Amino acid sequence: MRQRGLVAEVIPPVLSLVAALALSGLIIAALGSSPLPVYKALLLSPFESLATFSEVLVRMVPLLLSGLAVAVAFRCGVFNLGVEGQLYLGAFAAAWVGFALVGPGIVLIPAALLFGALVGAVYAFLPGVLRAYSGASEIVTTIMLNYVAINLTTYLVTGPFRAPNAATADSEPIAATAHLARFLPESRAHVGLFIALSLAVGLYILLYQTTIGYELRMTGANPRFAEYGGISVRRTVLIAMLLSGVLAGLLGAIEVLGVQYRFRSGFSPGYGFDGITVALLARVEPLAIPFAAFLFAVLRAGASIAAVDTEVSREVVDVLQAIIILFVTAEGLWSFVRRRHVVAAGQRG
Amino acid sequence: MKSKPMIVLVILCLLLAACGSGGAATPGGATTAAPIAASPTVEATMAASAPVITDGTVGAGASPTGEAVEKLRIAMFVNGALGDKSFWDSANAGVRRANTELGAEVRVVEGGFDVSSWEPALRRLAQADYDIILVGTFQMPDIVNSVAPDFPDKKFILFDATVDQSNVANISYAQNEGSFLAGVLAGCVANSDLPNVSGDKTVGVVGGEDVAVINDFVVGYEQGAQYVDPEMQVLKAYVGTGAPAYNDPAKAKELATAQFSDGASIVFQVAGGSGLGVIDAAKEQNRYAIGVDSNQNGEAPGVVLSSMLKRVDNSVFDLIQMEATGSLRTGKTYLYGIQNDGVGLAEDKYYDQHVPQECKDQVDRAKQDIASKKVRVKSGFK
Repeated sequence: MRQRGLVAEVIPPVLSLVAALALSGLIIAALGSSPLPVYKALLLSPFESLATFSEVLVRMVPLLLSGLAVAVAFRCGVFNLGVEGQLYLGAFAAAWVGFALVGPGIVLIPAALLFGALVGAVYAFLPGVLRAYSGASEIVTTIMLNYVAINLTTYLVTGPFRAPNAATADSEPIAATAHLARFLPESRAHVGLFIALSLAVGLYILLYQTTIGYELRMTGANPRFAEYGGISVRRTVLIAMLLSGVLAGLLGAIEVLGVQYRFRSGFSPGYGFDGITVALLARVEPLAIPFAAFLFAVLRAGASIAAVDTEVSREVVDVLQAIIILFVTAEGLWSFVRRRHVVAAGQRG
Repeated sequence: MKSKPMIVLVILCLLLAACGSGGAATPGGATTAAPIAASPTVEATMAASAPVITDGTVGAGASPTGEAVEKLRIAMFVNGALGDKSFWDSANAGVRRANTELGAEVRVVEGGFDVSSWEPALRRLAQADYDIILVGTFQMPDIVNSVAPDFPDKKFILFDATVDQSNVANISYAQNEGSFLAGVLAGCVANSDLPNVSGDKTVGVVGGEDVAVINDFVVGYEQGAQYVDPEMQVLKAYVGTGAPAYNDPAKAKELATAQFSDGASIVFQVAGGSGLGVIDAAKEQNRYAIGVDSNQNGEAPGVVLSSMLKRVDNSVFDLIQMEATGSLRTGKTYLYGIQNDGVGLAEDKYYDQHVPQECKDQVDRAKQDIASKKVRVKSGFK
């Protein structure tokens, strides 16, 4: 499937985008506004200056990491819908390193990232074990564990770790040495972007160049065949969940060290679920995920510009955003389903 | 393969994700209990009748005079969404009034619920051609601290929170004073001969979460109830933590029902959107309730005896008007309490009709006692 022509890969999403824009244009026109300024704000304004473009980069990082976290599990046939919970715990763990410990950045930053990744992995390990050894559906357990994680972190910052004198449920700020470097002047774009991009490449190498990657893909394609071929499906499922949790934990950690600088309860606008869409849009291919995340990030950045620059209400902009994502993803989803059908047919035949 | 059910689930998840991006999954928005930031510079006492300026630092904002006759251009950034029938709609009413009465050009931008998008959105608004930018809620001080210094010739008004910036005028509300009045009303009602009182010397309060700003309401309420009758017992409960605590009427109803069955005659809700559950419980249990922020008396006439109002609209309009006449001073905090109609009880036709005269008198006396500093209301901020 990766041999399919580039044109064949690119044209359907572009057509979807055009169809989505046409439909949303009709909606805006029906509401009595001109669609052009909204298009401009949504799709072009993010590129109008370094400042606006850097916001796209800021928003891209969590979407990219979440897409990777979802994808690595997907490829193994595991549905980690618990990225949201794992990223909250990872974020809190990293924030804890940042506010409880002192030291130079060269120690603090790796420590915070590693601790965040570790906590995310441990939290993903739990549903992984349940799936591998008791057959409990990871879809149910991961979703349920999201609530546990989100509410646990909220408890931690309203209770034992609340910043003194704070009116909000936030942790203390992390040490300034733990901030990730920002690489563009007067913007929030931080080096977490490069970490995320290299993880995308890393995941590609892992999936296609290593034994573990082969085992992951085989287990995802056909677990019985994999087992027959000598692959331990249980072990492979566990590895996939661990990797997914590592990526989710890193997502949280990088958001804290790069953007938030403290743990804020409820800081994620659903990154863990956005990752599902991002991963599907990218056909679950690690190297395509940065592009899918970028498209999402442009829309997100564009939506907040549209809210400021145009008179169209926020809800309408949200609707447009959703239509575009729906159209583009529906195309991705369709090819995903088609591919699964081919696999399923292969199994039957 | 079990791929078919999986795919169905994935599609369901996609739908979830699509909704999530619209804001449903995101807490952190406009909680109607509308907390304020802890401010070491604002004392919860009132002095003169004009808005009180605390914090004696010198205002170094843009030149305040000379441009009074020009048309003001105002922008308000809503970190959340309008339509809460409470805090934000009240603020919106204030800026709209500036439009009709002062001819100011007004623009309201809804920032939605993605916390990380607020800073760039506010920055963009600050770059646009507005004279004053209004920002509200305790969630914004960090962002204002980051944005305001980069726009030294713009003026910001931060309401319901405070920062120490030379081009920001802060508005703070003495909700503890308003809640004191609510407490006086509650205490008096519990001792009154209204048909649905329990007979116990007990009143209740349901707060959103156990944080300083909510406790500012709770502390004032308790003090007020015990001001009427030192033996008055005040039951306290909190809905939960974080933003969801202000959007969980079922839990609030449960808590209020428990308080009613423990003998509370009346329960004060300080829980934003959750508070409607308290009113529901009062209706079902045949007891009484007190609303918060906006006038909720009409939600259940005769059950909601009054509401503790936080007049965001008045305060916002006042400061815009000050700017129009050139008297707004930035780098200050304007305190809105009972004296300048910043907080108070909703005394409408339902209040007139259903509250015993004796209690109305007690409330009026309490107002005077606060104004004359005979009573000093405690604060939830430490």
